[in-house]
Amino acid sequence: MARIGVFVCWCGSNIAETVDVAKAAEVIAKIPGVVLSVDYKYMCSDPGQEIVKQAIKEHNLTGVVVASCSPRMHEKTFRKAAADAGMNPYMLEMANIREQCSWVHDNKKDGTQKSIDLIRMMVEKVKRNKPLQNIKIPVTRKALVIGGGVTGIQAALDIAAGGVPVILLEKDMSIGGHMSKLDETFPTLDCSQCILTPKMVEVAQNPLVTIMTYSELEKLEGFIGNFKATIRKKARYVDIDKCTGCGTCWQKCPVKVPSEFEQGLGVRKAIYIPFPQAVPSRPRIDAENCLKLKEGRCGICAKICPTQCISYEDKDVLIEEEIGAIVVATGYQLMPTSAFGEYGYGKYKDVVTSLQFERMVCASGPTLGDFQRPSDGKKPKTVVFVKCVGSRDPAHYYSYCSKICCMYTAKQTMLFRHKVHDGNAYVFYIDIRSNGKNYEEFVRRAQEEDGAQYIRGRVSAVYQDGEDLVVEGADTLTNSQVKIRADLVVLATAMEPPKGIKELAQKLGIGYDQFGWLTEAHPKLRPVESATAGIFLAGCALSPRDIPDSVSEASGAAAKVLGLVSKDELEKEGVVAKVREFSCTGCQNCIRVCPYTAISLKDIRDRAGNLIRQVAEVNPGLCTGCGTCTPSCPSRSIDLQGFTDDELYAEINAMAELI
Amino acid sequence: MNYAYYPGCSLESTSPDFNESTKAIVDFLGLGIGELPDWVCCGASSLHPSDKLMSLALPSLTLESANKEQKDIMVQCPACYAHLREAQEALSHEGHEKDDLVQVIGRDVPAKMKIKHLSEILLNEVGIPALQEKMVKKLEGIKIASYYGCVIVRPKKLMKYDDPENPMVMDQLVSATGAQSIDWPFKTKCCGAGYSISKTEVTLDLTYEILSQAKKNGAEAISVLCPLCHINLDLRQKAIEQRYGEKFNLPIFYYTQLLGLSFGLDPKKLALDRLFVNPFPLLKSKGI
Amino acid sequence: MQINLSKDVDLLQFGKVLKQESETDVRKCYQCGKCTAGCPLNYLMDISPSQVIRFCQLGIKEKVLNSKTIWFCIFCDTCSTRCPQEVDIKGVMDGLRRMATREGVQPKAQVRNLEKAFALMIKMFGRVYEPGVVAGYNFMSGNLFHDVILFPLLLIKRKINLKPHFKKAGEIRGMFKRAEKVRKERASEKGKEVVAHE
Repeated sequence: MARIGVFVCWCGSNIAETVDVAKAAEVIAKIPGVVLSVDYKYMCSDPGQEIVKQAIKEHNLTGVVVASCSPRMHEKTFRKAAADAGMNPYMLEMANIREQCSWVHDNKKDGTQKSIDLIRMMVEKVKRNKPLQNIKIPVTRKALVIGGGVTGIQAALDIAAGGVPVILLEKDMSIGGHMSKLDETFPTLDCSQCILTPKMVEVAQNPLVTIMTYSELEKLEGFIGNFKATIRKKARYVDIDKCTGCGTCWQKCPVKVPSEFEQGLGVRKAIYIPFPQAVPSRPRIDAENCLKLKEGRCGICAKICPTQCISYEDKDVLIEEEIGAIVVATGYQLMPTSAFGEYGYGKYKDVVTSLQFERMVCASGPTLGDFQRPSDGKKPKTVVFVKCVGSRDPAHYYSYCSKICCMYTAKQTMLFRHKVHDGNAYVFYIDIRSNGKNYEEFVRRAQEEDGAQYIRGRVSAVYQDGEDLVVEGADTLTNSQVKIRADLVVLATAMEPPKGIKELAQKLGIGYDQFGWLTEAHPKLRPVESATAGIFLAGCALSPRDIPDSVSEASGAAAKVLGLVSKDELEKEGVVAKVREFSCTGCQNCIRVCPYTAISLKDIRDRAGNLIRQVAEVNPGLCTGCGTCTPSCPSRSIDLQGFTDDELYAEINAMAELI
Repeated sequence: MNYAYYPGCSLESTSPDFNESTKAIVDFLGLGIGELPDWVCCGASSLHPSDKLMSLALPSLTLESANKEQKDIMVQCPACYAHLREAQEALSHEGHEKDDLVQVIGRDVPAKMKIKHLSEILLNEVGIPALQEKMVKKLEGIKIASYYGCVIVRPKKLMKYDDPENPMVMDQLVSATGAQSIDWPFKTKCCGAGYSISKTEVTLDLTYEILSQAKKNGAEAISVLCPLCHINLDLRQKAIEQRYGEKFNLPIFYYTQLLGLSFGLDPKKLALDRLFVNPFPLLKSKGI
Repeated sequence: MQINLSKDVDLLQFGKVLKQESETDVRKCYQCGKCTAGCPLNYLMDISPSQVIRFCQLGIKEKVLNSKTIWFCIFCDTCSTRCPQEVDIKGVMDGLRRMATREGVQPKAQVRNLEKAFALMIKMFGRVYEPGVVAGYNFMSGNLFHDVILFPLLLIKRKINLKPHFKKAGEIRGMFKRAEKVRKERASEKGKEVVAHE
């Protein structure tokens, strides 16, 4: 026999203004099966919850309906209260008479009648509710961080600090990311590598961290707490355990190719490490340019290697790892100068990107800090910095703002002026976005102390005229055209998602936007989580941001990981689909429609082990309770617990006043 | 090839050299493109700012003629190209503009034909290998700056011709003849054609920039595809030299004349003798 | 200059009319100045192209309709092609010229004379009769000897046709009349008086 208790909330005046709550409670009390029907000012408060708990015990309630706000607000609160009072929490439902009633109507008569209907619907549902149990799933105590830039490094360090083993996966041959290419960072003008390399060394020496460089994620299977990652360790042709990093091989290698690390401004060998502070400090052979691998000649490096660690027969290796949680910190890439027709399509050697400029001024760069321009080595006297190249340009490129360029351009004018004391630095800008701590003062310093000339206007074109570059810009503040003959032009090109990010996101099953930036679960309140349980996001993988924000998010994502794997088991709501095996024909409709691949075929065998038939089986760990499977079944053999056909039809019939 | 040739008013009067060299190479290649009968003025740039309806109505008459002949249209003048396209756009989209236009013309005009510039047809439909087969004389050793002007490349959505920042269609045709088509930044900078008559000094200033930059990048001659650009660069070159005190001596060729030379056609037939800046000394010095 | 947004301007009205004339929304402009930067005629203009758009955004039409700028635009489309927000600045200049003509502003601009001469030739002959255009222009602008030196040069090179072609002139004249009628109808719908072109 059903014994339902109904609690109608005033929610102050939020509900009571449009709904006569006392009357509603009165009418509901008359429904057969309702043994208690009261109203109260604030049900979610402590005393309000006490009322529910007391009522459950005193009146031996079999079910409860709380008529108040949206279940998204307080269903958890009230279900916990019910559980505390000894009732199965899934026997408590909420009737939303606020968001779906009082907040959208202004006529009290209508509002009251509608809320009575809504409450009656939930009463009839609760009468048919079945008690459900939460699902427990095990958790693998290991994390995977994809991306070895400063964000990934920080996340790995923080996860390891919590005692959890972590794999740091990086597709390039060294960790460090873009930060290792910078000269100095804003707003402190710290030497970038000086502050990064200690972290790189720390993460390399941490016993709980396994660094896998020149490796990529091949496949991901499983679900939260129980992932299986297949990682491809690409062929390096060097055994990094035997190698000592002595450098004999790359000194003798005859092949020179443009260095990716130096942004094309310097050279490297076919067997090389990208920069001296690389971690691991072990080379790899670039198969596209190695004479031995391409044409079968040379082979000097293997001959002279003192530890005999070079092998031309190396192959990619696939390894499998069990993982509990993942952090995606894949960063960004910068648009190249070749994308911009009005600035020369990359033809002009002295039109460079901001990253190329960093390498030019860096003491460990291709010119060892001697500031020379790429075309003829001349020391640039007049440098023009162009901001917003490719950003804020929905007509041709990207609509968004790349966030960091205003700050790094101010920094670059200072780096230039510190090297060339009588140099002229011009910055063409539309706005100056300097909203971090000490950022505004930094930009003022660039202009007031270091003499950078800021001109407000975009640059229409840059072209080569003899030895100089002509910059055609504008100053909207005086409404003039401004022409400058420059020695060097630095384009602050837009940040964009790295190549291959969409394929990676699809392997992980996480969302991304129209540009390829990964999507967080909620932009305000869940900034480091993806919508996929167990996968967290940090840094520029989400969208352009600076180092302090990226590092903070890395720590945030790490905290989420530690929270997840700190329990031995994860508890999940019992609202999952269930199959009635006796009527299931194994047609696989539900398997086909399930968006989470949570349903699979199960063999039904006789005692001799012969296969009788196959039926569908739901993996409660993967099932999210979306209900897509239920209407797909032609024999009505699969149902969503907590929202069964029976319960939902009862709601509909109650609304139509058929019961 | 189902094209009919629409020369436009300029080619008939002040730019007969373009017209004749066009006809010469079209005949030589046996493309079977005859002149479109019954064409009228396209309205050019002068009608457009004051009487938008007429600027769309006039080219519509030409579209109607092409439709009657069941032919696609081949153009040489970029302005005609632009206005034919605009009229085609206006006639293709239902709405107030189309209704007004139909009222002015007095009837609806079907406008589904292709409209293409001869340079596109030569590059994409005839193809460089086919052209090179017919070449008997290579124009080797000449450095030529290919100058497109502003109309044929902009607006990109309307013209659909080539990249507005660095087009290569004419460059490829010029290179095919064996000449060196130099890389230079002012391929699509405006020469000031619109003000050739009403604000001539402006035109001189703008055209000077183009001549100057071409020379700075090592050009010995300029190849053009627009009759108005040609007038400014060729006819007015002397006036520019006087105004700025600089000597250029840059012959201005139509790309059709260059192709014609490589096919071995008679220079008189290509109207090379009607250029104001004498091209013959340069050609002789390169052995052509 | 002083702007009293509560009194002086006709904001919404101007923006709407401009949108019809030029099919572009000036509100998209965020004043980056790229149009001004690349404009080859900026050196002759009194207000820059981006300034024109700004005044349009504020609805201060007297400033733009009375400017020299709209008459110096050469319609090379460099501005619209490079604008990051796809504002058709060239279309705005075009629309403003038509508005200026309709409202009787600047009827003496030299360019207008050329347009008039051009249109006259088309009406008479159906195709442009170049000597007629130049002669007409010189006469209307009061500079009878402009470019006159070119005449014999062109004759020598046989680049000028002394004989005009006649093509569909009658039909075209009819079209001009009908176009004027349609324009008058449209303008009266908008509630503005129209100034006939010829």
